[in-house]
Amino acid sequence: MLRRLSRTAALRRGFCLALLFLGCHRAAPEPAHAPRIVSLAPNVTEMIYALGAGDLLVGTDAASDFPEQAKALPKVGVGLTPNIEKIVALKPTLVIAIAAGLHPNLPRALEAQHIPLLVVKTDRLADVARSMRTIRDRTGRVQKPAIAAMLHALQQQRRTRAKPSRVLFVVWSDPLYIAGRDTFTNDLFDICGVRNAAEVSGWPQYSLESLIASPPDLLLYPDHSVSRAQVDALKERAKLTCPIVAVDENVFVRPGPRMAQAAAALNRIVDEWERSH
Amino acid sequence: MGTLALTRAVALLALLLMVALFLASSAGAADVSWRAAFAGDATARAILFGIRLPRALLAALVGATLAIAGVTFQTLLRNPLADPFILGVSGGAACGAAVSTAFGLARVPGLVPLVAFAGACAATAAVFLLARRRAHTDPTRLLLSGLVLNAFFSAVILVSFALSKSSDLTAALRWMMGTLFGATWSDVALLFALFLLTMATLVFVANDLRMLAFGEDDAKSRGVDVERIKLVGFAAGSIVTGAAVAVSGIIGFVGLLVPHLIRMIWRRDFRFLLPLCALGGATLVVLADLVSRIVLPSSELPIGAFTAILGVPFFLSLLRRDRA
Repeated sequence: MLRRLSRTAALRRGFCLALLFLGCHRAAPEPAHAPRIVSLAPNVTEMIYALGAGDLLVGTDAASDFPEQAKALPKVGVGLTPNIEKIVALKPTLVIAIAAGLHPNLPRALEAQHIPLLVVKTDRLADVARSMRTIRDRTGRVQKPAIAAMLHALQQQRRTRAKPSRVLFVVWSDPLYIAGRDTFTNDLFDICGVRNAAEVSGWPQYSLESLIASPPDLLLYPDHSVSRAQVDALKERAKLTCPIVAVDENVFVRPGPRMAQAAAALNRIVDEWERSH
Repeated sequence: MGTLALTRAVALLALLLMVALFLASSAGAADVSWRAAFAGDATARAILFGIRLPRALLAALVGATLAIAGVTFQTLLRNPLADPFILGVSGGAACGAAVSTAFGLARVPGLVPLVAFAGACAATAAVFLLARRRAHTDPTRLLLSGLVLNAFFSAVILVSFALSKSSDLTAALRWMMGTLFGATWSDVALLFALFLLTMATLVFVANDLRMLAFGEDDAKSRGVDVERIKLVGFAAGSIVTGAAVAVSGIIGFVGLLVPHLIRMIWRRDFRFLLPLCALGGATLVVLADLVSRIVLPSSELPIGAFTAILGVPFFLSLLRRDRA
């Protein structure tokens, strides 16, 4: 089902589609009964708030901690295997989950309770706007031009660099897992005009030999999952000389409305590196 | 063991199972009561009848199923170590699930359990064919083929995990750790039907299986068609294990632990052990599932860990008493 489009083409198409959809759906009427929503992923929660539909949320997964109001909502457990009893007790009329890591039993369990489940795909950057549109259409809320604003903010971060630096995003340090091609992180790299230092696709385990053979110009790591001591150990083993920068994990690893913020942060890091070289 | 003793043992275990089922359906993350459900509270009804009860009953069925498969395999192979896991049946199921996940099929609803069931059946057929020589199935060869196939399945599982996307991997791992998460009434109905069918088959051949315990030659001289019994027992145990693994993932120790526990307490032959194992296995898994889902608020721990944590101390104390 995956159509191999070039990433930029996909993004541009997404942008155009967004404008088109915005034009068509502005007049969508608010449903008679506004849904009671349970979100099962932090990026979905962020999307719902960004759309101005945060008041429709009656519960979220344990990891949903942004924006601040989300922390106060009832929690229904880990997003992958949420507590179905707690979901039912919140009497939602819509549960929204992400496709990645969806437990095969969850759709059946919710179906048995007659609770509609919306599964959105958020594997790539272009999926974010698409998912937000899907959610907006289901909530019937068109309060804010949030999607266009997000796409605009992303466009603002688009850079073309004369000599693209090679960046590696470490997901886990021992064993070494990295963000490869065909990921939303790689899409961010494309926007910011840098290249992924790894040639592999997906989120693979990466060999230390490859890291040593083609060292990146910049190494990024998420500030919660990986500690400074762990990256330092990695640096030592791979004899890396490049700068190593910690990034805000919740902004960088949640394909949601704050991706433009991630792009801005990445641009700042790269700009600084370019200035010093 | 007279009929009276058996009746008393069955009644005792059935009572234990009832208590376990009552506890399991009364405790959970949401604060609801049976009284509210019977008074007509819609949420309480949805939670108790729609979520807790099917889950507790499915736990009971999975436990009963794994335990009767275990006692059948142990009797059949005259080997106390035999259980559905060692014979490669669940390895085959896990392998099917892992491979289908690696190819991204886990996102198709209902496919993983189906492939897992097919994997269990294929593994059984392979083990049986590998162990067969000149129209004779040697129990040691059967066990050895199971062990070797298990090693092969582990290899395939590791490779498919390395190839699958990290997001799909999480779902696959959750499944492989064993869980009754998301149990529905249709799972209960399906497994109950298969359980009844297997139980009926095993009761039908129970006397022949009992004779097998004295040795194959002995059984043959008493007019038992040994090869046929092996095939029937092995197929029945495997199909029902495949179904249990398909609905719940891999829940370890039950097939090995329960028959030994029951044997240590009642020291009887296969005909009597069969119903007692079913009840004992059911009770153990219902309790293990209860603990696994209430020990942490709104998150679940792997149930396989609790079948061992609850069962092993009991098992060891019986083992010590046995030695004395």
